[in-house]
Amino acid sequence: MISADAIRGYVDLMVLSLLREGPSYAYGLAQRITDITGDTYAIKQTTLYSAVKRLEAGELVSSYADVSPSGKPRTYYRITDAGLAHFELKVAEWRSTKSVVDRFTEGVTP
Amino acid sequence: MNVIIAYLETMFSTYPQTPRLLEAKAELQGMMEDAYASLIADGASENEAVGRVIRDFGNLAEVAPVLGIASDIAPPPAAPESAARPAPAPATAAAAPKHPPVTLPEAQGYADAHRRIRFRVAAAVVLFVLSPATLIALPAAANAGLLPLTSGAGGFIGLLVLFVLVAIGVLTLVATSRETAPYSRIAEGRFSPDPEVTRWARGLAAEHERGRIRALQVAITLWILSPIPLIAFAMLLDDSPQNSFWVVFGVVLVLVLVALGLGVLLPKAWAYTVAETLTAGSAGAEIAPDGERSLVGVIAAFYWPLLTAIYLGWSFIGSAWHLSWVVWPIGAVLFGALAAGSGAIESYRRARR
Repeated sequence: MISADAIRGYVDLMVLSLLREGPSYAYGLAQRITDITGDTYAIKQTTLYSAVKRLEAGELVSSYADVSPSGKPRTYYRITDAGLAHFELKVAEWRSTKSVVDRFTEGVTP
Repeated sequence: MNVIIAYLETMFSTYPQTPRLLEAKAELQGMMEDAYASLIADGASENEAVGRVIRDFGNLAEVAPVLGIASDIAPPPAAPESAARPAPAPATAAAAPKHPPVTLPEAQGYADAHRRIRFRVAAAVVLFVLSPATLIALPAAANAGLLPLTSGAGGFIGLLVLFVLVAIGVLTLVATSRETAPYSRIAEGRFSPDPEVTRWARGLAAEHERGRIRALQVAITLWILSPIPLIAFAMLLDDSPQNSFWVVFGVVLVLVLVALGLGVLLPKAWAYTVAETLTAGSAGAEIAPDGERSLVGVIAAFYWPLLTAIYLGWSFIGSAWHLSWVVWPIGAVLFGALAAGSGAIESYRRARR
């Protein structure tokens, strides 16, 4: 189980990545994240909500009202062009972060 | 689901109702509703679903910066201080051994047990209050010639009924204690409160608060009205030949109305009691040393047997069955005053620290 602290900076990346597939609402995003991560990482609702609101404030996503599959009115989020560009940046940042940290864990078992 | 909404209400209740906050609350509630519905659809029980949703909620402080209410949300208590001065921490920890925190499933089990036994506990208390009624009424009725009994036989039957009712009440309470036994450490305050459980318990209490307040209003009305028949019989039937019987009957009505009030209130008060216990934890229990904590309990342990001894002694030796019943109402009122008094002293003491 990954700690919330370790992954905090990359929740935005996860949300942007999911929104590239199409607009979604908060619980839909939470469900997709759980589907993908399984038991490795359980996202808290407040973590996801603050990530989405932060992205919205930075105009990386935009919101609109719609109805969820269960028929309830929900706020949907859609990625903007700035969001797509930011996603690419974040992916590049993650790759270099990962390669830097990897250099310190090479040869360590397990 | 109501518990979840009440939980969210409690979480947001301390913050100003700005449009931004209301929007956040609505959206978080939507997320929780969806999560709850999907857990239920997956076959989770109501309890499991509520527990999971609340566990996965997270921390409202995390949302604060994006809502621009950072200053409104209280910082986590004393974190920087203990980090800056680590030295005294182990000393205080050693001085006051902390009980393990209460977990949410444990708290839910405890609340569930109390919900299940609420009618039985109320019935036992009602039986205790009603138990002397026959003993009060029968000898008086016999004396007034309303029953083909001698006063002594009436007293005997009344005493028999009293013991039977008390026995049924005690057996009922003993049976219910089986359900609460797994949670004895909660009941005895041997746990430290957990913020998540505290919020859940407050939500639970808030959900049942309206019912409790209504029951309390009914009960208080009944208690206030309870002496009116007695006063009416005493004053209006002053010249009736059976006046003394009617006055005794009025006393029985007092007991009936008091019991009725308790019967209405007690089954509705379980959520409130559970929340009080869960939020207090060892913080509440440790403030008062053991001896003081159960002051009322200690008094009760001696008080009621002593009162029974006085009652039986006076009745048998003085052959005063027609009069000695006054021990019970007087004793009950006195005990109420004692309990309220020592409760007030304890809470005053707690508030001063």
